[in-house]
Amino acid sequence: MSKGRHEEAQKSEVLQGTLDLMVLKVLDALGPQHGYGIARRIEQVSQQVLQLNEGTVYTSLLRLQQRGWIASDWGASENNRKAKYYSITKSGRKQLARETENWERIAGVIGRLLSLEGKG
Amino acid sequence: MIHHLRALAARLRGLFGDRGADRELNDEINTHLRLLTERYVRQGMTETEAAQAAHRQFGNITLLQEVNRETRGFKIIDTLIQDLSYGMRLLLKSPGFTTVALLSLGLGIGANTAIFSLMDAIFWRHLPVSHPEQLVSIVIPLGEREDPGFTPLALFREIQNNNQIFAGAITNGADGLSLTVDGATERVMGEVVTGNYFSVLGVNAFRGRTFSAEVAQGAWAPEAILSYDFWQRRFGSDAGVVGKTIQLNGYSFTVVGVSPPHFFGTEVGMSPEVRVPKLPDPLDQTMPAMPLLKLSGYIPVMARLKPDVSLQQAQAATEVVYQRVIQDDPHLSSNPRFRGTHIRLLPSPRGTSRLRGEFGRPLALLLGLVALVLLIACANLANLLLGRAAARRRELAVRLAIGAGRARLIRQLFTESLLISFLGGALGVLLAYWAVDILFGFLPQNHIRTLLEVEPNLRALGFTLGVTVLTGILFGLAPALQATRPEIASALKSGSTGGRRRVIELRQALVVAEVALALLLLIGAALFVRTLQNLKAVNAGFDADNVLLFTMKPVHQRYAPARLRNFCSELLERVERLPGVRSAGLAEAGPFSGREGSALITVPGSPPQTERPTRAFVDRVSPHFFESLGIPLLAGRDFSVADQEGAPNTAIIDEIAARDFFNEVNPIGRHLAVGRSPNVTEFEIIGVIKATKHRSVREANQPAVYLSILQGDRPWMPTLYVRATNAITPLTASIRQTFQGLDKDLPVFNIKTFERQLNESLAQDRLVATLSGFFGVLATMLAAIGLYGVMAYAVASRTQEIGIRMALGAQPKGVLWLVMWETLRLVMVGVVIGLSAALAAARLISNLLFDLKPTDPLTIAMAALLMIGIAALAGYLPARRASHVDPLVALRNE
Repeated sequence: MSKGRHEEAQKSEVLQGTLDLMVLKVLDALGPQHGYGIARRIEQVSQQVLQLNEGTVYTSLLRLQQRGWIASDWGASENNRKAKYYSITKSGRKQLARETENWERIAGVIGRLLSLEGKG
Repeated sequence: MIHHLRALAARLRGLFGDRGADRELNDEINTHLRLLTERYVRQGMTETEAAQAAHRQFGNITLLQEVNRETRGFKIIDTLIQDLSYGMRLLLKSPGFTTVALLSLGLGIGANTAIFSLMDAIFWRHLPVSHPEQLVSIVIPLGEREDPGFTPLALFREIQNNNQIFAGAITNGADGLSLTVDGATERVMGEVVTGNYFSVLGVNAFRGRTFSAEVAQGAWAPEAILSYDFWQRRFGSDAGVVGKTIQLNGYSFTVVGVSPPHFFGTEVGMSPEVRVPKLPDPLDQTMPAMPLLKLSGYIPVMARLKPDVSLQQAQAATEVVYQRVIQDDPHLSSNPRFRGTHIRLLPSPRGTSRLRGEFGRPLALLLGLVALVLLIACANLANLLLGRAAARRRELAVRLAIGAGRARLIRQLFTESLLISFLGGALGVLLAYWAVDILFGFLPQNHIRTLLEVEPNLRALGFTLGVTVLTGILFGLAPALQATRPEIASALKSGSTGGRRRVIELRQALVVAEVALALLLLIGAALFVRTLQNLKAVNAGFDADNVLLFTMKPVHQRYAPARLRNFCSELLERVERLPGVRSAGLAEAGPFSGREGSALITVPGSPPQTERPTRAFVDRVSPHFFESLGIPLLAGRDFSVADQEGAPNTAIIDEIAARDFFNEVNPIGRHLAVGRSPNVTEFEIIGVIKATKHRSVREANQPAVYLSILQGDRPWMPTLYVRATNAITPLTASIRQTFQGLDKDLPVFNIKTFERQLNESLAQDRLVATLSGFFGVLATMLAAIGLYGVMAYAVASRTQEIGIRMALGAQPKGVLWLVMWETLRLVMVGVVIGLSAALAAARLISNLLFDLKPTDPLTIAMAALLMIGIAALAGYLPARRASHVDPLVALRNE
């Protein structure tokens, strides 16, 4: 069983943490969504670049729920079927802000570094 | 952190079976897959293609479910529960294996724990007082013996006053007392102690208080402290007992308190029901009926060292004081016994005990025996586990093949082994409690009852459990490790032998070991059982099938000597008149009571060089005593009522005394002198009786002299012996009534048949014979079962070979003998090893035997034949099965 997990890591080249970040962002930007909806938006945004096993979204959702950054509720889907909707919480928003700031800082540093190389 | 708590909560919910989250996830997954499929259908795929594409896009569902499930419950606990329930199911599926394994483990563990616990209670447990390691006994060597009861009073006083070395010193003495309360009288064991007894021992009262401050300082008051058990038994734990008045031997005392539960004193095996303080002034004569009250002469002393004082310091200081005391006291300095002696301080955290001398060797022996039984049980367990592991090779191989991790399988087998060991251990604990009670029943109960709190000892339990767990792991795990090696293919293939050869050899070695050990135990059992038989067959000199004993202790305050003698005569007369009574007699000590004394006997008038002062047993008896016990009169006459106080002193001697003191001359009419000068009394011999045993059936014959109970020293604690014409038990009530009629406040105790008294004197030997017999038989059965298991397995694994042999013309009888020969080979090796061990260990037990050498050929041969016979039977069943093998079936199968 442990072998399976490694395979999963190989297939998707997206780190656990960044998937969490993406899910948070989707929920923040587009409001409450169910799992399928989140997967679709991520696919849309990444413009087919990210090859994602959609099941991993649920793992991410579980993690985020346990940390209290999202909450779940049952509601009706588009064709009036019962579905589980997730929404971001206040602490989730704070976490999102923190991580966004983090990413932007790192991106900035890398950017400066790379432009530095060029001058060399 | 909140999210950790939330995660923990999720795990706990999962642990308790919350499957709701699993269902929700499944719903979500199904919804997601459906939506994906619909999307692909809209994009133009067929249903089937769409479904497949959806699954591919989704990824590993099972993995997702498992990851989700893992956040619920604790993985370790989950797998543990899984393993345990699988293990239980396996055990239940093979009831034979399980029963044998658990029984042998349970018995091994239980027996070991029980005996160890009894030994702990008698030998090793510290007294239930505060800081027992600070307690020391004062011991003065007298000749070869060291007597702790022989400290001069002056020395005791000095030790009491020495505040630098000692934090206090106490003395005590026990005696049977008549206790009267609320109109009813019973006999109890009383202990007379110094006022500081409880404070020095550091024991507080459970109810009320211990002795008052004045008494503790050395004054005297009629205060009594009850033991906890007595308080429960007699007063029903009534708190109102404090302040009650009780009578002890006729004197009034006030109950001031109850000592704590589990406290019994300083003598292991005794728990006096009531304690009173000693009279401080040795010359005080106020209470003659309680002689032990007086502090006088030589006493046993126990003292507590101060915390910062070492034993050497105390010893040196006390020695100085001791020498000074001897010098200063004219009595002591002139007594040759004290010359050149040195005092010794003996650390006594475990108190003293009469039981230690008597039961030391038998218990040690039994401990050795049960250790062997445990070994056999472990060997059996090992054998059984090895057999089972071999049978499960294929199961394990299959599980490995479909993806079980090796570590996971090993963990499971480990759990299974532990399961058996712990179940066996649990059974062992139960058996230990029960066995301890049985063991306790062997301890003799005389005029001093043995009271011992024995409970299964945790250390022993832990040790024996550890041994079995180790065995379980070793023999359950080792073959499992082997079986899970990645040579799966060979195991799956039928007919593979692989490492079977080695396993069979190991199992055979184990069986040989079992047979050897079992034979050793069987030989021991046979020797001890025969010893007991020999002891019982000894003619003790009595013809006493229907004799009942009653012991009494008339309180001296109420019975002046004359009145006491009248009482005795009247009692005998009345009892002999009862219907069904043939005769009745009294004896001060009586045979096998442990109280028979001895004295120096000299024959006055013999020329000095032939006058050999010899010791003889001395007892005081009444008329008809000999008749009541069936001791024949060989010459002269029995005592009569004429042999009263005031009449000439008369004595009856036994034939050994007649021979030793008078050779061939008729002793009737001649005189004997009893006692050490200057306290010598002369007696005229009036009769000669046949010799009997006195203290023990084992003793060599010694001369005995009997004096009249109605002459000389007043009776102290005489026993009435009543001989019935037919059955004795119906007479108990009428004899009791007779006692009541004469004095309703006289406690009568220690009521038993003479046969039982005789039996109790053989307590040690009975204990050893019964238990070694039980264990010998048990060990033999275990060895037989082990043998059966190995042979059955061997036959099963060689079915093909047997089939071939039979197909080629071998007769069933030939096959039977082939297998039997294998069995006998193993047994003979075991027997030889067992015999050598028995011969080597013979010396160890020779002095526990009676009339029997430890290498007695008949006994050993009997035991060996029994073992061979049982083993042969065990091997016969698989052999029979082998001879019935159908060659066609055998060759067709694996």
